[in-house]
Amino acid sequence: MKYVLKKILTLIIALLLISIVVFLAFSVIPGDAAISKLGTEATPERIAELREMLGLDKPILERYFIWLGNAVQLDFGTSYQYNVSVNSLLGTRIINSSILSIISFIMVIVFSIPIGIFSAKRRSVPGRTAMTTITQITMGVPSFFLGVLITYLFSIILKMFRLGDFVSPADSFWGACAYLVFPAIAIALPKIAMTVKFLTTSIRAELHKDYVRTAYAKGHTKNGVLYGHVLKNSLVPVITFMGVIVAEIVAGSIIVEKVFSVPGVGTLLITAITNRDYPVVEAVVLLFAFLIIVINFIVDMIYKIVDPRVKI
Amino acid sequence: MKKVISILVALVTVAALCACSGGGNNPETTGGEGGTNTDRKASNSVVVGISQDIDSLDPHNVTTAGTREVLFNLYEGLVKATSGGDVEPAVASEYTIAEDFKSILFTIREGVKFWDGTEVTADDIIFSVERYAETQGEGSAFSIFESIEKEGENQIRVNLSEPSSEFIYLMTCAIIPASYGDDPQGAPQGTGPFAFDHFSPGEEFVVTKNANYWKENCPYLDRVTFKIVTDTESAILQLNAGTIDIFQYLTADQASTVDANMFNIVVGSINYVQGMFLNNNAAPFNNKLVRQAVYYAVDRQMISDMLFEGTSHIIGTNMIPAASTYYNAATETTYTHDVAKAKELLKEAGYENGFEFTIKVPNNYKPHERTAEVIKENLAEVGITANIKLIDFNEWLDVVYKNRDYEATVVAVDGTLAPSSFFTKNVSDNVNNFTNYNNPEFDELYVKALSETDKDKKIEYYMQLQQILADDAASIYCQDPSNLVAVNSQLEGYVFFPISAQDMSVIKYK
Repeated sequence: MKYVLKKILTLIIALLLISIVVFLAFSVIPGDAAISKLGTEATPERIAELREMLGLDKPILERYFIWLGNAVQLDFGTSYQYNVSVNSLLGTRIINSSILSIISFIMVIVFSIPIGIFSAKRRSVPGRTAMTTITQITMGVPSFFLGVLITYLFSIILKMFRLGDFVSPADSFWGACAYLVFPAIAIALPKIAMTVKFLTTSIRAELHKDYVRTAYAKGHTKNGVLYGHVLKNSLVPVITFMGVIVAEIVAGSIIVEKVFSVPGVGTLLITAITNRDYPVVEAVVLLFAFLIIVINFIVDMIYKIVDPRVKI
Repeated sequence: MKKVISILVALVTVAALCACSGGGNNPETTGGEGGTNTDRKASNSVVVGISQDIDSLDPHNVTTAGTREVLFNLYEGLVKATSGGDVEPAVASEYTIAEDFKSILFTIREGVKFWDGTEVTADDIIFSVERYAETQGEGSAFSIFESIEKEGENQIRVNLSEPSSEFIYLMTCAIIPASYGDDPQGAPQGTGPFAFDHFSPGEEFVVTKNANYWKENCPYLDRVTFKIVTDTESAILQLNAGTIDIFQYLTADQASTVDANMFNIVVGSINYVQGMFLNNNAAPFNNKLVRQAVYYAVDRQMISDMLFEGTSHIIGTNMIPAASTYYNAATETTYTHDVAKAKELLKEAGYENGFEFTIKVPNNYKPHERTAEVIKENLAEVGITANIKLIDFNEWLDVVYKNRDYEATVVAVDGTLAPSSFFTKNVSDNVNNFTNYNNPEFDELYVKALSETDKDKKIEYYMQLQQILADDAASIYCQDPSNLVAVNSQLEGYVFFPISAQDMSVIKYK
């Protein structure tokens, strides 16, 4: 209980600090929301008028506290660019991004565990070298580049999906999922490679432990030892690692969404930054921060359940 | 541990389901709003890729050229721009400009209706023009608007405080209902060939055929989706994937990567003055000789060849060739590519050993970047070192355009149908004179040109204005870039406008 309270306190402090950093960043970078909105034909009077309307004429500290007061009530203000509430912009986009992240995560689990076991069982030197080479290469390729390759292969050559023709999950849930499988591959592939490498190392380390020898002595088969004893124990560190992977999936989706024209939170963030649409940026960044902190918290909890020795 | 395993099993099952639907994914059945090309032909709809997001649904408060291009299909003024660069009657059926050029009389077209079927009244027109006048600043071309009043049953008179033969071009301002309330983002209403359907910020802007449109057999299409694709590379992929039918502003390189079986490349002019704009207050560009030297050093033909395979129109002043009546073609050859001459001028100016400066280039339009690179190479030949600094467009607006904190920048400027719009930014005390150009002779002539009512004299003044800019080398005007448009080969009728407009009402399936 004390732990939970401590975590929640950390969460609040982290979110506060992040919101301040974003606020400061926007007052430092060149580009002004009012000028951006009014464009080249704006007169100084109109710019002043709009600045006043948006509250940009107030001192930065006052602006921050006004924003904070609303944010604690989950009101993130109005988008400068679109004149609609930030919450309404986020609504469907959060759903799209969530589906994308979940599919990516499922791919990581489904592919990395069997491949990891398979790779750990390979003892021949050429086999190991081949596996390591493949994982190293896959790990090294950035998601957005994979994204471009995937769009080219699956959309242009194989015509398996039409780039940019995303169906809203509200219209067709499976249609949306079908489209999102392709960006998910771009996000998941490097993560699968990382998890495979991690799992392989973990299993191999476990295989050298004393209890494995005992298990063999008791007459278990090779597979019996691997699946019955070793796998359980080698998955424990992988769970922590999964926390990192999920956080990376969330962060990685920002740029991949853009490549695949998925109307998600990531594309919204990029557009908002270019338009100096400050309320949107602040809300999205906080959302990401919140997610990552909560994921870490969940990982800690799971860790505690699977390994009772861990006291937190 | 068992829990973890059961969770894993559940996850695997879900994944398997997803994988199945993914594997069986067929674009013919899962296609979104657009459907396939064939589907779109059957439903008589088109998807147009646009590179800028829509900044406003309120036609009187539009900022970007990208939004004007789209809203051109939704709203009309008393008159409407034609592709030839003139205006034709729209909500008005005819107009007469008074002999003293101080008023214009419009006859309201009989039976013009808004999308919802309500008839346009004189009150709507008065409301719209007055509202538009309010949104325009004091220094704008609209500031000579004095009043608008009803005259008789179906006529409207617009009065001006000063004579102007160009004011008719501003009467393209959109007519909207007088009931248009305080919520301009709420329910748009207009008289154009297409009616607003819905807008998803950052995604798409969808319009449908206006059944009440006054012109017979117009528009041809039932539905047009403007899909926002801010990245050109992505747009090309989406063209080739069959997601979008029309995309403009391609360079020659980009156009060559578009599938030639599916698309025709239509070539027109962007109608922008593109070039390297110089801060006339920043040393050494405050020295006319230096500016002229740079002009001689820059090889405009090379820029055109590199970017548009030589199809763009090389210019030498701040005016577009499409404004043919007023365009001074002689300025094109005021400077030639002449390295020796450039060196000579630099020596005369005291910069024998060259100098170093920075070109700030907005990163939202690839040709600007490429132009800057060519200029950099050209200038190296005469001993000038140019550094290129890429900045995003909002930074450009703030730092370069508003605060004028720069030495040189590669951008393009546009104008309206009114020829004066191309010169306003060079008037010394204009708020948007971002090049800090200052020539009293130019200022004086500009005022004369604007108020001149005799057409021949007016043309003469505008010709002179252009020659002054060229002689002063106010900036290094390079080209009117080509506009290469990929158009689905099943479509026909694409036309170009000298203003920001993409007219979808004339597009049809073959």
